[in-house]
Amino acid sequence: MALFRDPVPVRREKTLSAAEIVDPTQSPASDRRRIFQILGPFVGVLLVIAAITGISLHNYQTTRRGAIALSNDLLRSQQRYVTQEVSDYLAPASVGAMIARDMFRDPLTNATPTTFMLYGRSILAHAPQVDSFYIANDQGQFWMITRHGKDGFEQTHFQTDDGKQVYHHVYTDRDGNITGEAADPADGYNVVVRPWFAKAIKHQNDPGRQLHWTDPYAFVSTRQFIITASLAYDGHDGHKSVFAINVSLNQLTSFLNKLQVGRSGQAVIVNMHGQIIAGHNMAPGQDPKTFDPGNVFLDPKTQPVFTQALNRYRIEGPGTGTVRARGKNYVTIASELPFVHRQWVLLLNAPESDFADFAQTARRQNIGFSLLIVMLASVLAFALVAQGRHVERLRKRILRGREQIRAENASLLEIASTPDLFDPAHEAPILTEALTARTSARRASLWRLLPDGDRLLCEDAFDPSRDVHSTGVEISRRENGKLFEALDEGHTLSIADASQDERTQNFQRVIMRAVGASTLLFQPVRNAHRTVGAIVLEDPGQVETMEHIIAIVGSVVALRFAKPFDAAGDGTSGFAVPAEKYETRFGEGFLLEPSPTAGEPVAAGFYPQVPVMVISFVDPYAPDRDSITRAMTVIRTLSLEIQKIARDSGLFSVQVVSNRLVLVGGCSQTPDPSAAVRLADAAVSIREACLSSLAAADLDPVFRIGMDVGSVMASELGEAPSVFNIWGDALNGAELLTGSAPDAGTIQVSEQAYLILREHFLFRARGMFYLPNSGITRSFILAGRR
Amino acid sequence: MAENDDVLSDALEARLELVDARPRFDESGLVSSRYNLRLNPGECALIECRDMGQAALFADMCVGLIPLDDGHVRCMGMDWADLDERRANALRGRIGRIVVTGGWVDLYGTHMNILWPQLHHTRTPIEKLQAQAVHLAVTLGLPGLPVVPPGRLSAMDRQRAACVRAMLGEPALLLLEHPMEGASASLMNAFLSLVTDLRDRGCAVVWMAPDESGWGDYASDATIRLRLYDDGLFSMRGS
Repeated sequence: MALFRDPVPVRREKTLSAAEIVDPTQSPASDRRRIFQILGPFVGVLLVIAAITGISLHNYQTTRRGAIALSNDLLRSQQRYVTQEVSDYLAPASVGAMIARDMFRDPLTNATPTTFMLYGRSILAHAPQVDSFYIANDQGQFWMITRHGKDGFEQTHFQTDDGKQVYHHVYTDRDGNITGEAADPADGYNVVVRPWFAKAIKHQNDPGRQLHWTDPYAFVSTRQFIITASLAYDGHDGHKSVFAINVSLNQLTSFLNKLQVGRSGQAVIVNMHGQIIAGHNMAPGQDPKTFDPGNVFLDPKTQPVFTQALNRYRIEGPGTGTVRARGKNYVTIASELPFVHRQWVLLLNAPESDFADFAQTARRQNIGFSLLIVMLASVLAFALVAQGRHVERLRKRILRGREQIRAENASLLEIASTPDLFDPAHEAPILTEALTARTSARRASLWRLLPDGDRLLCEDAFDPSRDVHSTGVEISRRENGKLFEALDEGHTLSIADASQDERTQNFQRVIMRAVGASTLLFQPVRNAHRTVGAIVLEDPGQVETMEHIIAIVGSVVALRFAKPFDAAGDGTSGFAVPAEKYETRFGEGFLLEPSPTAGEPVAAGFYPQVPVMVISFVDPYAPDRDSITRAMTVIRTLSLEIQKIARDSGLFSVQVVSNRLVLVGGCSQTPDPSAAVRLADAAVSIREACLSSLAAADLDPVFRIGMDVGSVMASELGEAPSVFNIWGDALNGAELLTGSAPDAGTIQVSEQAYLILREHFLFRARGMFYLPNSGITRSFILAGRR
Repeated sequence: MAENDDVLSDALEARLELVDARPRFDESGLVSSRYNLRLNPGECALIECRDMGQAALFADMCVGLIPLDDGHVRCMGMDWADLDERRANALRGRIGRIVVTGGWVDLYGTHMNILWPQLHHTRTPIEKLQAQAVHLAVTLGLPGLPVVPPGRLSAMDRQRAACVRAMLGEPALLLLEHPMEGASASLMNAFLSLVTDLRDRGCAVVWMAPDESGWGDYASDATIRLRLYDDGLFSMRGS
């Protein structure tokens, strides 16, 4: 028995583990390790990505802030430069006016004011932004000097010739030599009402505003966009005179346009209402004839950056800022131009990218580098995971290998400790058991080559799933020619699908199909260069590790098979049917023959409601011949009594089968409750008889009774004599109730029987029981008659 | 120990092993002496113990329910002290036990009481469990799987049901606390045949009873016979 134990638990444990929800042998630490092995590297990569992203972002922000600060500084210096330029540009006007006030106090008459002209020629020659000078007084005298042609000058005087008001032009060269004269009509011209004259007079005594600046306007004759600064003073003759200087803004505009602010920045001078004084694209593509420079305003559509910068200036005052427009960031700066009394604002802007472009490029490069690093880190992480899994697999394989070696050693030990291992007369089931346990084969078998060399006889086949050894199957060379050839040559066959290989096709059909195996390992066993048998494994599982055990078992089997076959037993040739024969007895077994109802024999067929009772006697343990004789006597008496009771109760039949009695109350197609009552009555009587007989003989009450009412099949079987037999549900139920009667000497009845009998007998409920085929039923213990 | 966790449990490992196990008296009530016992697969220990309460405590110690001051209690090579709650419970699922107090939940039918442990611990299909349970029940002399609450079964039938519950699902270890109290010869025969089958399949058995009559003629088939006294386990003479 001990030999059978060990291989089996291994297998069962494996199946148990598979069905278990929690496997106690599986440590949660290994799960955690596995999770860490997989997740650890990925978390590492994620951290690397996060760190790189953070650093890049921080770098970018810092660089950008630095770049913006730098560009602000740059803009500020540009602004100072522009302010200075503008101040320089307009300086001749204010300074010149102050000087003129002191110079031209002489009364203005129709005589040419030579000092003024000299002064004018000099300034016009050296200060290109100055367009012309006026001088006038409240008597209507008006003199003007401006450029004429290349290096020439034009002196204009408003006078009345022959009652006609005209502008009298005198053209001179650089030195004041007259080169020509001309006159234009000037009807209605009155210098006193001109704004530059009137406003200057008005503010003459207004400190800080004595120098009056007009709004920019287009000068008709020269098409210059000019601005006039005028200053009033008292002449020596007591009349009020006004000196005016016209400054061309075209020059300022072209200066601002040429100004480089960053790479593509722009500058503009506006007043608080957004009117453009000078600067960027003041009049691009405008028709000079219709273009009115005094009416140009910032357009929020085409100049959103300047518009926003001006708005910001209106709210926050001068300073720097960033504005987003047209999808780009712009750095702006706004400052006032203090030397003109009106609030002129200088606006500068430049795209942030002009300055921070390198930061953008650096960021892109950073991202590229970071991606590269992340990719490398990911590759490393994958490699780490793969390596971890690989190591884990190796570890498991080593552990499995160690386990394998231990198990193999255990098997070896078991084989070695088998007594008479090499004696073919003794069976050695451990060999096939060890083979199946170590190779996980569906079945392992040992085949002996019989002396004629044409037959293989299965000495032992072990089917681990059913835990069964079998023996005796034979295959012959006639049907398995190729297989025997392989056997003779001693070749090991390892065939994945035996049904497709011509050598093993027949073997598969005959032997392997029974267990549904397809893979075959066929290992001839040789002893002293002679084939003596074969080891066959069907569906072996662990092919790579089974060489050892096969070799070990093979060598043992070789020695066992080496001895002549006849020594192992009498073989099949010794079998012969004994010549002495008995006459077979058929028509017996009934204590009470089936009684024909109304003279008719019972027809074969299905009977829906037949009361059946089974009485089962436990074979008494007989230690000696005396007590057997005594028991036989009791049984003899008992059988007579039972026969009598059965006859008195009018039962249908009583049949003896070994240690059991099958009693049938009645057998008719129409349900007959009285038959069941008769049967139960007989049961009570038989129980009493049994109890008293057994007690009289001082024997334990070793019988149980079960009763059921249900369907049976009934038929006469055989011929001359034919035997009446019944079988079916009721009989099975009665058998089960007999076997499960709670105690010796009790009568257990089914629910169906109880329903029929409850009015006539006393019952004790045993409980409700479930059976897979019949569902939940109740069973009852019949106590006695009512 | 942790190194071996991934290895399939060795079939040759002792199913139950008490190595100088000294229970904590104040928490268990079991006398704090040293217990030693080793049961290999298929072995059976018959333990005589006058006080079944003490026997129940000893069984509790075997399933790791009693804290130890010293020593080890191992089941299938695993030390209860090393297992977390989850694994310990799973391991207890491999142990069949008949407790002297019955251990029934009377709110549900006996069939549920019988199937619960396996339904809880395994993924075995319920049909298969039912078939196994019915087979065991019929073998032990029940007409089927009892479905009434355990309290409404007769004492003998309840005992049969307890045997079904303990033997269902191929236990690796059986802890039996006087399972055959007042049993009839036929029940005893059926029970012994089932125990022998289980032992053949590698189950180790610890069978405790107040006196020798508790295991009838089975004494000769036991691997080891012991007595459980206040001061420990002692081998019986002649075993």
